Amino acid sequence: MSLDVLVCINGHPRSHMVVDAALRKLKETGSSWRVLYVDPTDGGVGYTRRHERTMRLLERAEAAGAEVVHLEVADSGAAKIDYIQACFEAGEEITHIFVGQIAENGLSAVLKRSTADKVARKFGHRSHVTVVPLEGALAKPSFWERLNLGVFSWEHIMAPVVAVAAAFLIAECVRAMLPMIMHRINMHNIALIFLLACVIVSLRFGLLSALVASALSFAVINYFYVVPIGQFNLSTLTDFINITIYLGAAIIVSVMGGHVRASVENARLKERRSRALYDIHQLTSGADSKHQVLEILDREVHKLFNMEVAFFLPLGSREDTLGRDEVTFSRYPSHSQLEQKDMLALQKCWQQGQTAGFGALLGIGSSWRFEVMETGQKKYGVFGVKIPMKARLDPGFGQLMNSMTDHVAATLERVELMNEMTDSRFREEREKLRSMLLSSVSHDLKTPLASIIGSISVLRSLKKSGRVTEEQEETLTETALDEAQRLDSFITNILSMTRIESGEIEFANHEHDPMEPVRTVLKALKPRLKEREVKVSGDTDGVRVMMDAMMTTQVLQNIIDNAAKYSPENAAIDLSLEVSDGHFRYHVRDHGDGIPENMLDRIFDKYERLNKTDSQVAGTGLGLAIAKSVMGAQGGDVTVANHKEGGAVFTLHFPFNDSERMEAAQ
Amino acid sequence: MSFLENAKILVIDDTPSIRTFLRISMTDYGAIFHEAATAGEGQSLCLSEKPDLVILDLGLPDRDGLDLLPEIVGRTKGDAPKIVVLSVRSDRKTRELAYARGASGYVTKPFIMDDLIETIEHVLH
Repeated sequence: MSLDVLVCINGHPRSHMVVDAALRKLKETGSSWRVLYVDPTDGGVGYTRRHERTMRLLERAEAAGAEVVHLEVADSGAAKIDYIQACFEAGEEITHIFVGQIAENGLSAVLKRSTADKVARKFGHRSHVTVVPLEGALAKPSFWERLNLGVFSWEHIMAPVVAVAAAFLIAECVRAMLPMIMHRINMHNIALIFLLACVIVSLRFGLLSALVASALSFAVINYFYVVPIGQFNLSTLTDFINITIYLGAAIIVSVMGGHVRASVENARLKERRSRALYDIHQLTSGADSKHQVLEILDREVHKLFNMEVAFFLPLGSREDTLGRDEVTFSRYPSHSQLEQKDMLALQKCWQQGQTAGFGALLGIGSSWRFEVMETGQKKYGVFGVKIPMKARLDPGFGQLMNSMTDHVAATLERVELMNEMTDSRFREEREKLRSMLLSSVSHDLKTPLASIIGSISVLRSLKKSGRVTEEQEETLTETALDEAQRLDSFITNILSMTRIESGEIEFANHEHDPMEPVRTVLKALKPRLKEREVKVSGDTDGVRVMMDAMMTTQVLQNIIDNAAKYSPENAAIDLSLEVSDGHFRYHVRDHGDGIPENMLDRIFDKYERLNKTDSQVAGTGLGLAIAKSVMGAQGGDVTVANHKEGGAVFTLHFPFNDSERMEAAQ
Repeated sequence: MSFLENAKILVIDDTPSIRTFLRISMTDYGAIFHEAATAGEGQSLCLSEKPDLVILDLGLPDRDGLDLLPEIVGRTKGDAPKIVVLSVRSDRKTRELAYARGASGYVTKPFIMDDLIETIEHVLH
C-alpha cells in the first residue's frame, strides 16, 4: 500500500496552514494524501470552537480528496509519532510528511525538542519532512531574548555605580561605627554587603546593570579591602580564590535576578495583554456588522499596542504595470497612509498568506507588520500594525499579533455567517408579510366591490323582468352607494398609509374649533350610520386646538366608523370632547363587546389585521394604524381602553395650552 | 315558475349588504330565504330549517367556512343541503379543498347575480 503525503494536525487554530502547504505540494505531484487529526480532547479554553473549526477544515480536505484519520488522545505529540511509526511498520511508503510547529514558552521549550523536530529527526531519513511554522518568526523567543537585554539607558549604568557606592559607604560606616569588633568585620562580611547591592540592582534594573555592578564591586573590594590595600594586586592565593569566588557568585546572582525580573515583567505584560484580548473579545462579541467590528478593533487594538493599526479588506484585483496581479484593498481606518514598500509587503502578505513586513521574512523594509486574517474557510483581509521608529519588539509580540489576527478573523467570520442568516430570514419574513398584505388588501377591496356589483346586477335583472318595486330599487341603490363609499374610504386609507410611510404627507397644523371635524365626519357618515345616533357632549366654547383638520377628520371618521361596525345595530355612539391637564381629547365610546385584553396593545399595529385573513369586517385595521401615525405626527396620540360599563373607548389626545383658552374667555 | 320556487335557501355571510341583495334576488325567484351572519348561527339554522341550499362565505368572524363545510354535510345525513361557496378567496388550493369537503359549487366575489343563479341552477339539478 502506498501513501504519498501525510499531513499531521492537532486542534491549533492555524492548522489550515499545514493543510494548505500540503495542497500546494499536491498540486505539483497530484498524489494520494491523508490527514491525521490528533484531537487533544482536553476540553481547554475555546476547545469546542477550535474543534468545530478543525472539523470544517477536515471537510474541506476530504473534499479535496484526502483520507481523514481522527485520533482522540491526550498526548498529541507522542500519538503523531506512534502513528507514523505504525504506518512505516505496516509497509506504507510516505514520501512527504507535513507537520506544524508552534512556538512554546518557558525553559522546558529550550530543553525539550518540539514534536515537529522529533518527527523530522526520526523520519527525516525515510521521507521528506516539511515543518510549517504556525506562528511568526518572532513568536519563539530564545532564552537570552527573554531577559529583555535590549532595553538599556543611562539609568542602567548609573544604577550599579550608585549601588556599589552605597555599598561602599555602608561598609565604611560599619567599620567606623563598630571599631571594637573590627576583627569580626572582615572581607567576607563586606563582600556580602556588595553582593546584596548586586541582587538589588539585578532585581530592579535587570541583568546588564547587575553585571556592571558585579564587576564594579569586584574592583572596589579588590582595591579597598584586599591586601595590599590601595592596589589592584593580590598578595596571597587565598585572597585570589576568595575574590574570584565572589565574582562568580555575583555573576550567578545577577543572572538569576535578571531572569526573575524579566519573568515578572513578561508575566505582567502577558497578563495585561490577556486582559486586553479578553476585553476586545467581549466588546466584539456584541457587534453585528463588519464595520462595527473594525471600529471596535481599531480603537482597542490601538490602545493595546499603542501603535497605529489598520485593517485591509480586499476589493478586487487588477494587473499592475508589470502585468502581475495586484489586489486592491479597502482600508479601515481610511486615513491610513502606506508607502510603496508597505504596499508591496501588504500584497505579498495577502498573496502568500504569510506574515510580512517588519520583523518577518517577507516584505523586508516596510515599517508595517502584516498578518493575514483567515479562518480555515476564507481569507478575510490583512491586519497591519505600524511599528514606530526605534521601537523594540518584545518576544511575545509575534504571538500577540497571531492571536489577535486569529481573533479578528474568527469575529469577521461570525459576523458574516450571522449576516447571511439574518438576511435570508429577513427576506423570508418580508415575503410572507407582502403576500399577507396583498391578500388582506384584496379582500378589503373585493368585499365592498362584491356588494356593489351584486346589488347592481340584481337591480338590472329585476328591471329586465319588469318586476322591480320601488322599495327594492331603493334598497339596492342604497346598498351599492354605501359600499361604494366604504370602498372609497378604504382606498383613501391605503393611500394615506402609503403617503405617511413614504413621508410624502405634510401636516398643516392650524388652530381649529374642535367641533369642525366632528361636523364634517357626521355629515359624511350620515348614510352609513342611518338610524344610529352619535351623542356629542362636552363644553368646548372658545377652544381652539392646533390640528391638521383634514387628517383629523379622517382619523375621527375611521374611529367612529369602527365603533359602528363593532357595536349592535342602532346602539348609540358617544363622542365627548374634553379639555384637561394640558390636553384636548376626543373620546369615542361604542356599546359593543369591547376589545379583548390581549389585543389592546396590538390594535394599532398595521399588520395586526393580517393575522385574521378575511374573517373581519372589511376595511378595518389600517384605519387604526393610520390614526396612530397621524396623531403622532400632530404631536398627540391615540389610545384605547375598555369602558367599565362595556364597550371600547378610543381617545384622541392633542397637546393643548390651557392659558390660551382663559385669555380667549376673558 | 322558476327552479327556485319554494326552495329553502340559507345564506351564511357576515357582510350585511351581500345578504341584503341576495335576499331581494332570491325572494324574487320565489325562494324561502334564511340568513345568518356567523358560523354558529348558520349551523343552528341548518339544523332547524333543513335548507335545500346553503350559500356559504368562508371568512366568517367566529370560524372558517372551510371547517364548517364538512359539519353541514355530515350532520344532516340523508337530505344534506347542497352547498355553494361564495368567497373572495380565488386560489386553486382553497377551491379544491372546498370541493373535497363537500361543496357543490364555488363562486368568487365579486360576482354578477346571473352567474350565481346559473351555478345554483346547475347545483340543484
